[in-house]
Amino acid sequence: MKSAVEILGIEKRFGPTVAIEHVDLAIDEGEFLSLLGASGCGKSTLLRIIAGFESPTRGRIKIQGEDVTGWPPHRRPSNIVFQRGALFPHMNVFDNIAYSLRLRKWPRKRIAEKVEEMLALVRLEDLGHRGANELSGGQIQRVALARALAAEPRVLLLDEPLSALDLKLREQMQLELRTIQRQLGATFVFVTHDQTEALVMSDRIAIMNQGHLVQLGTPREIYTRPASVFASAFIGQTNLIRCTVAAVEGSTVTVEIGGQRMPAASPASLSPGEPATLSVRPEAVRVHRIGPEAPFGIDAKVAEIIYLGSSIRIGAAINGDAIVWADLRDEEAEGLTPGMDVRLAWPPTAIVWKETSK
Amino acid sequence: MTDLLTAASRGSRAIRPSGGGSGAFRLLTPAALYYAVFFAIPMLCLFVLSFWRAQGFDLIVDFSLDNYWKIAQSPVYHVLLLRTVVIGFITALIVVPLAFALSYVLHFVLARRGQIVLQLVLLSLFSGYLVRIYAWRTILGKQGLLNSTLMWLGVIDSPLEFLIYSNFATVITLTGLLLPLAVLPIYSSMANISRDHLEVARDLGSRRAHLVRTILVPMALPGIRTASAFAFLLAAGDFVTPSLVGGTQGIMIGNVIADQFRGIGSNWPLGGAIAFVTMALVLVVYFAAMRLIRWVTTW
Repeated sequence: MKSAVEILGIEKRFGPTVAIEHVDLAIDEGEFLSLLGASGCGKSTLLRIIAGFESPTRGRIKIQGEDVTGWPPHRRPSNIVFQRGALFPHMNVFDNIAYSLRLRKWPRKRIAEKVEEMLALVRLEDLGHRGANELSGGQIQRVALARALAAEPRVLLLDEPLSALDLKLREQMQLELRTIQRQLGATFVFVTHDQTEALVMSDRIAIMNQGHLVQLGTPREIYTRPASVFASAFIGQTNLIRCTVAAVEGSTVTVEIGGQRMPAASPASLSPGEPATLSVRPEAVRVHRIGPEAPFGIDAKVAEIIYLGSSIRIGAAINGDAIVWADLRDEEAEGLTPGMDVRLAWPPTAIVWKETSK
Repeated sequence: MTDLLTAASRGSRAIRPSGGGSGAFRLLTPAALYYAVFFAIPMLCLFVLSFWRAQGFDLIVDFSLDNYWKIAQSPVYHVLLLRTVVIGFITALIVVPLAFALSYVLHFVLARRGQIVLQLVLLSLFSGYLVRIYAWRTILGKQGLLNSTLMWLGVIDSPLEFLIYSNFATVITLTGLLLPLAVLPIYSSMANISRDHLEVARDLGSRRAHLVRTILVPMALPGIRTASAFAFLLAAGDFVTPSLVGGTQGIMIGNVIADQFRGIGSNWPLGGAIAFVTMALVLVVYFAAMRLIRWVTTW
């Protein structure tokens, strides 16, 4: 498949600080790709380098095979939507959307048609004459989106465009944005710090940490097979349990937690006796009552019971120390009380990481 | 307690900006009163006076258009009025773009450090009006800073005569005096323009002159309007600067008006009439210029 955007060995320094450390990434045509990471991880800088607002210290940017590295923003076939919309307040909605079209000297009639089309796309049909200052937060972002899409970009860049909205509206806009992207078959590069948002919307997610690209994959790959402790902790929720490597057999590792043993998988080579971190998602942990039918697992004591509505979260302490969280359905949690002895079990696909790995 | 609450709620309703009714206007009373006593009433008196006649040192109550007729007939006034408007206009034409460029640099290039520079610019206002005019005299004078530097550098052999006691000197000095005043409103309305606005516009294909015309100027327009008013009206109304650096050929209408109200040859009714003619002319030019800016900056 042809790449819409190729990021080749991009590095960015601001004086002595390194914002981006050698990132390689190819974004496919028609793909919805999210750059996900905590603030300051370099994701916005990377987006701004694609847009042409920042020039990279090293590396090249190609858009549809064309090297655009030295190009100013106005020459690039990309357009950007900012977190706060940045609508031009002295223009109404129509004029905002028509801005790039008038600049290209489109005939009046064609502009009107295109603006109508864009307004319909973002479902603001009747608001063309509304002033930019008379819109709600969600409407502002829709107009900003329409304005960027009216310029018919090959790649649309979105810099946390939903972060300023409240939760309900954000969830609704996530789905709408996804629908619009599918409808247009356009390439979207979406920057966010919100992992749920990235999971909901993306074809692929690129996780960034401290200027590095730490993992690239589909939401499912990233969730089920995180490439590092950081990725496993950043996407969704996870238990990170300190343990010691007891035995190694190929990719299967036996670890010791508080004197008890459990099998697990490891992507890295570990040697017996080494301290490590075990990562297991709360929904993968099962809680069994101690008895003859209880499976192989680790004994613990129920410490916390938290009602979450759709599930119940149990916190169980191993040797009165490390707490492991388990998300159970209502009926699974029935009869569990604080202080009760239980056995925790999880599939051997839970991953062990080297203590030092990031 | 209840009384307090109702009073408080009535008060909060009163100061709401829109639909506040009489309460909001009550807050305007002190300013309105001040303007009435010290501006509107004197202006009205002067206006009435402009239809009177002066005979020696006496004022004769009358209703005659003689004063206005005199202005309409005499070429001297025409030349002075024209020069006044042209000097005011040229000064504004220099001051406002300079202030705009300076504000742009302060806000977008220097960002937070711009605040410090702005304070320094404002500091120059503390040095006093006359002091600053005299400062310009020492710069522009025949043996002034500029001439002696140029001669020392060998750029010129003899002092440039037009630097002082000329319309040129008046415009330069007025520019120096009015620049800080013009920066203030433009800078403050530019604060509403974020870097995002500029970046979005550039991203959509705009740049340079188009960016200035479609985004920067329209968004800073309230400030530009105020700055233009300051620069043009104050320059056109000034009579101290022309009399100190303008030379014998450089007097402006303000000098003539001032002369009508002091000294031996004074004629208050004529002074009033010239003042009103000047005011009308200056306002017409100002509003025409504002229309022009609006027209040029429609996208």
